[in-house]
Amino acid sequence: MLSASLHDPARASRLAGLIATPLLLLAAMAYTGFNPLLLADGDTAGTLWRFVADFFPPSTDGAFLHDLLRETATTLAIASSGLALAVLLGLPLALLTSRALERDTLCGEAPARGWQWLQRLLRGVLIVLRGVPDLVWALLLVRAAGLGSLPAVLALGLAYGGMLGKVYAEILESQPPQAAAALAASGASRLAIFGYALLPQAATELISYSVYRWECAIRASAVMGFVGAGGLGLLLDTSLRMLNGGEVGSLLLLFAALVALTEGVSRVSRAAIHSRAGGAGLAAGTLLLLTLSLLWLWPQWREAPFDVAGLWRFAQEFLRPTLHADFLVQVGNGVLETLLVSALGSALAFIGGALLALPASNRGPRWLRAPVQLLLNLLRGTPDLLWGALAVLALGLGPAAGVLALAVHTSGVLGRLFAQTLENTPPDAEAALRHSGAGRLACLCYGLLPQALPQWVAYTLYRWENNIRIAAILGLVGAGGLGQQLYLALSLFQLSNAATLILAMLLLSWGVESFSRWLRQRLG
Amino acid sequence: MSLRLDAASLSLNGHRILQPLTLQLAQGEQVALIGPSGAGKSSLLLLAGSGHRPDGGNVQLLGQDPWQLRAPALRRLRSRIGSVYQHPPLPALQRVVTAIGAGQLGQLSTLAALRRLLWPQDVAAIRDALQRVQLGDKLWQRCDRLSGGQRQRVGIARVLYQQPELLLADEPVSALDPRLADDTVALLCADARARGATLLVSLHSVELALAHFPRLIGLRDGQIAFDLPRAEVTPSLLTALYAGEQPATADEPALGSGIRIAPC
Repeated sequence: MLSASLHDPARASRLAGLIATPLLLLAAMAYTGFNPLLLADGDTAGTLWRFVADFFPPSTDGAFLHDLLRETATTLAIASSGLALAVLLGLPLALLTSRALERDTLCGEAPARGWQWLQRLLRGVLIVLRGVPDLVWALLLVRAAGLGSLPAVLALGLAYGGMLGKVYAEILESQPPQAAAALAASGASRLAIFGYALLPQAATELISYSVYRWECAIRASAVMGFVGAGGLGLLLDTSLRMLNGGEVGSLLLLFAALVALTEGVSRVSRAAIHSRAGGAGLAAGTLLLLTLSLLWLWPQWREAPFDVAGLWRFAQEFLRPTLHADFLVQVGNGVLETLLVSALGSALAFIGGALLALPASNRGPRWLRAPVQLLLNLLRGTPDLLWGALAVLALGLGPAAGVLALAVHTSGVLGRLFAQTLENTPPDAEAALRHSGAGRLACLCYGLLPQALPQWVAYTLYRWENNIRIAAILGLVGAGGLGQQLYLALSLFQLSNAATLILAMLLLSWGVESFSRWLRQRLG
Repeated sequence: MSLRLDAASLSLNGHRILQPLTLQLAQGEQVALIGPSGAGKSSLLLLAGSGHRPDGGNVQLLGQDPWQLRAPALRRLRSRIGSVYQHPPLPALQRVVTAIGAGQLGQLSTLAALRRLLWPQDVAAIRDALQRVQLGDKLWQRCDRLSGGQRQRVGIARVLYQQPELLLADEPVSALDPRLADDTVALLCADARARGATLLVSLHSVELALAHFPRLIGLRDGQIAFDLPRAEVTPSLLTALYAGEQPATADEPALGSGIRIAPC
């Protein structure tokens, strides 16, 4: 009879993994100067606590509340019209580039050379659009279009357009291809294949992803003000600079409320897609929201005329990136720092998310569930850039603050996703172990986690792709990495240096995306 | 008494699954549970494995009422009871060595359990259990690379490794070919006999039940239709037990054929 060796054939790789993982984490901690013990340090905790204690009571000053209301409307309007622009940009690009609509894969026709080159070019455009963080787009557009909400809308449109273009294409590619293949074989055009075969299959997924992105856009537009692009961020920036804790407190409460609101809207609309009346209501609601947004923003835009010639001059400056060796070394350091900040932040968030997901999905004491869910909302709802500002306050300027900010914010995001995974995991493996006398922790580690882990890792890798962009902009509030150098370069009008830095961000984001995709395919 | 039900009944979601049942299994006894689909065989086994709490009557397992015990004592009791499932719930990415090693989690401290997860322990004993179900070469395989029949046998290997005093098996050979099914039921019986453990197995093949078990319990509509030594189970009893059944579905092909076979 066949029999396996008593020695684990995978022992070398397991041992390497067991040793390498903590070593890599420690190395990243050493390079970024992030020491978790610092947080337990009395001085740091004291500074932070005094600042946080200032949040109470939240400011209820009449003039401030009036500003708050106005800027909230602006933020919502920016997010909605920015996302509309992103869909207008992303959907056509997705239709042009998606491999799901390719006649050569669907029915074996020989592809046209020119068409392939055009597609490559368009995919490159998508990479550039999403590779430059939305805040950097805003930073650039503020120079061309002046302060205000217009650059924010354009920045969201461009960055999210690139993201939607990619994700829409991937959603189409993940659909079963039979219907599309049948249409392609009968000679249908690209658009017809999409409309008649893929749209009916993928509509709910496309819409629900767009709604999710709208949620993200609201969080993103809330911090656009940090670079002068209008919305709540402007208020937040001022309040933080003035160390006005009460106002920051009000703003935090507002952010939490906004997150809860958008999540509610998102849930309702995702449920509405499935019925005809719900779909019509959703369409009407979207149209109404968009009209109101444009009506609200229009007066601001009329006052700030868009300087196309200025944009062009500005763009020309960017065509001459600095390539001095000294500067490139400096940029290289920034790239490494940004990479490590994003990786370490995501890794710590994986641990934090896992620890929070257990009580949030009822695997801990029952009374702990509601407070942990509230905590997750708070961690997630507070914009990453604000976490950056707070972390700088606690740990001082530098990459360590970036790690902390990413770890905290991403713990909130991952905690919620992880909890969802746990709730969707069939309980029978765990139950079987419990019925044979295994303890709680053992049931968890042998029955539940092995089922949830692949999904958790995939979520973390996705989030890492996102975090590399956030790590690149956290420098704007002093949390190290490329963003800090970019902010400096733009403040000093060293546009060619800025061009090099943005190029580096692009390469970094593209590299991480490719690496993460490769890793996900290997694990999947 | 290893297993004792006193007018124990079970309802799930407001549906009465098991009528009040009274049943005793002495230590070392080997009993087959037969009956049409939906008769409550799986529920009875869950009741006997402390998986469900009865909503009436009393359940005694290895001389203890599990529902009167505090958590640590319940854990100790459960570690002495082993269950085999028709579809063993094995996490897809878990390796066979870990899945079988999990059989002794009830005996291990939490720390030892975690250590075993990081680095396989007690590999020789785990491989022995696996070899007894003729899967010695699958020790380091991932569970999602196994066929349905192989998964079923890994589930059996887990319980062989656990060495429980009360062994409950729910359709343990439904995915195996007839020859392997026969060997595997014989293996369960031999293992239980060698250790003096009590064995209760639900089977959809009447043939297997008659061939291997000295005592048969027929279950229908949540009630015990008969509880007799093998010699007294007549074809007419079996016909009545399965009367009015739908023709065998793809999942349970042996139901129809089971009735036609004359008992030995």
